[in-house]
Amino acid sequence: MPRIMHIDMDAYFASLEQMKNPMLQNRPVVVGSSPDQRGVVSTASYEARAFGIRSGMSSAQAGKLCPDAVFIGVDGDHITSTTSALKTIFEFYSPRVEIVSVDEAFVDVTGCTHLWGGEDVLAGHLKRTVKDQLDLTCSVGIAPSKIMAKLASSVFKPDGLTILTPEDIPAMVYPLPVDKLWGVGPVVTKAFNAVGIETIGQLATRNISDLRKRFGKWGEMLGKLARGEGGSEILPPDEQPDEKSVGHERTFSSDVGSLDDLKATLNFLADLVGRRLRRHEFAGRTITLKYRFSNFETHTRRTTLEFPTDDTLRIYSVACALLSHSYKPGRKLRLLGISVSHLSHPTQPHDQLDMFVRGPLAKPAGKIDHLVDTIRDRFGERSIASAYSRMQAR
Amino acid sequence: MYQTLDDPVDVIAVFENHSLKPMRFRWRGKVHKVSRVTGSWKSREGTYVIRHYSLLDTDENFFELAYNERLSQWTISKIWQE
Repeated sequence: MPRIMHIDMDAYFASLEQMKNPMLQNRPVVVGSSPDQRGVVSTASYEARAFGIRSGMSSAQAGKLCPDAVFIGVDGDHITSTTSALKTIFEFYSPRVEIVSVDEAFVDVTGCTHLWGGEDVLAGHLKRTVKDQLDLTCSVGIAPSKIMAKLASSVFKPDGLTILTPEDIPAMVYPLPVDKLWGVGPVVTKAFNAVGIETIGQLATRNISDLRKRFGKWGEMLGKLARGEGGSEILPPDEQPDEKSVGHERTFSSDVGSLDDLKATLNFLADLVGRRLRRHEFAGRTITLKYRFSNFETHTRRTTLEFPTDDTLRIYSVACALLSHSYKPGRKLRLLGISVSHLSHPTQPHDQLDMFVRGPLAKPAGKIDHLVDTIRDRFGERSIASAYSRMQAR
Repeated sequence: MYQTLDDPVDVIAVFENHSLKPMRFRWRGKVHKVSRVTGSWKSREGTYVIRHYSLLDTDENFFELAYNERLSQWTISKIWQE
């Protein structure tokens, strides 16, 4: 029977800040945008949570709830470095580690626990190692599937440990509201509630074909997961499926209505997207432009090219054309984004036909892109950029 | 509140347990003795590594120092001011 461990770092970003700066310990700390800027809370320390501050809340609202909170920007370098150290720790316990996000991971401990003398001993050892090496706490859940392990890790926080056997699930999990299940958001909860499914137990005991009829494959899958069936496969990084799209977007600090400013921003975004495509050896055929007006009205426009591209200039030109055709300058935007989908690896057979095409489509990326990539690989991402992208709206 | 800086700084550091550890630094004419390194992490600038240190001096002031391996240069990147 599979045994899956879920590790959730407690108030991760805020804990890192409190760990490195003792002046912040026992104080409400909010990591995210400043309250006088547009943006949201990434993580709040437990002291800040006592004031009702939660992840995803606007920073302005968080500032009103706790005017004395310390607001700190996200330190990406520190987080990335620490997450890498955490992954090394987790891999000591099992080779099958799936990093779900920067602050949580699944570890397949099936067949490993007897080496430690039990699941509680293994989990306790891991928690102590994280504390000793990084001075951080985490909450751990162990269960037969990923969804149950994630639920278990949320039972006792912070610094908790919950172990669920299949026999525990009816008593401990079934009474919980259905929205406690991973993947069940407000819309799905409302749909479930409308047919009398209020708890995980009610979902688990529903006829699977009825769930499929009412909610499609997603409903069927959730029904099975609620019963503890399936959902235990851990995917280490080299077994993860390829990305379906590559995109970047920017929320402006104040709304922008100038076409020049917007095009400069598209130049910047196309550069990020092209760079990421080339780094992962992808090219894509569909380019999508996304823009959001001040009133949150959101539009997407897309076009599909004859051949896949990873060329920054090509992505930029297409995005500009999409913007020019659909957007009337003057009306202010709060967000702009570009994504590229229908991805393939440039070495895949259908792309090899492109070798006979003349002009910019003949190569996956132009000479300038390759030169810029080489410079950035050696000197860093900020070492070179087009002058136009430096004029992007902030 | 943090103040972000990029001030070059003179540092005396030691290699201890296979890692670099700042011991004293001179910033704006004043010598600060490091009482505790509270954190250390790395970032990359292309192929080059930047080593970051959060620390307290003996007066309990908080600093973040960074050592850029490409430039062989120490800087103060952050200070904490109440």
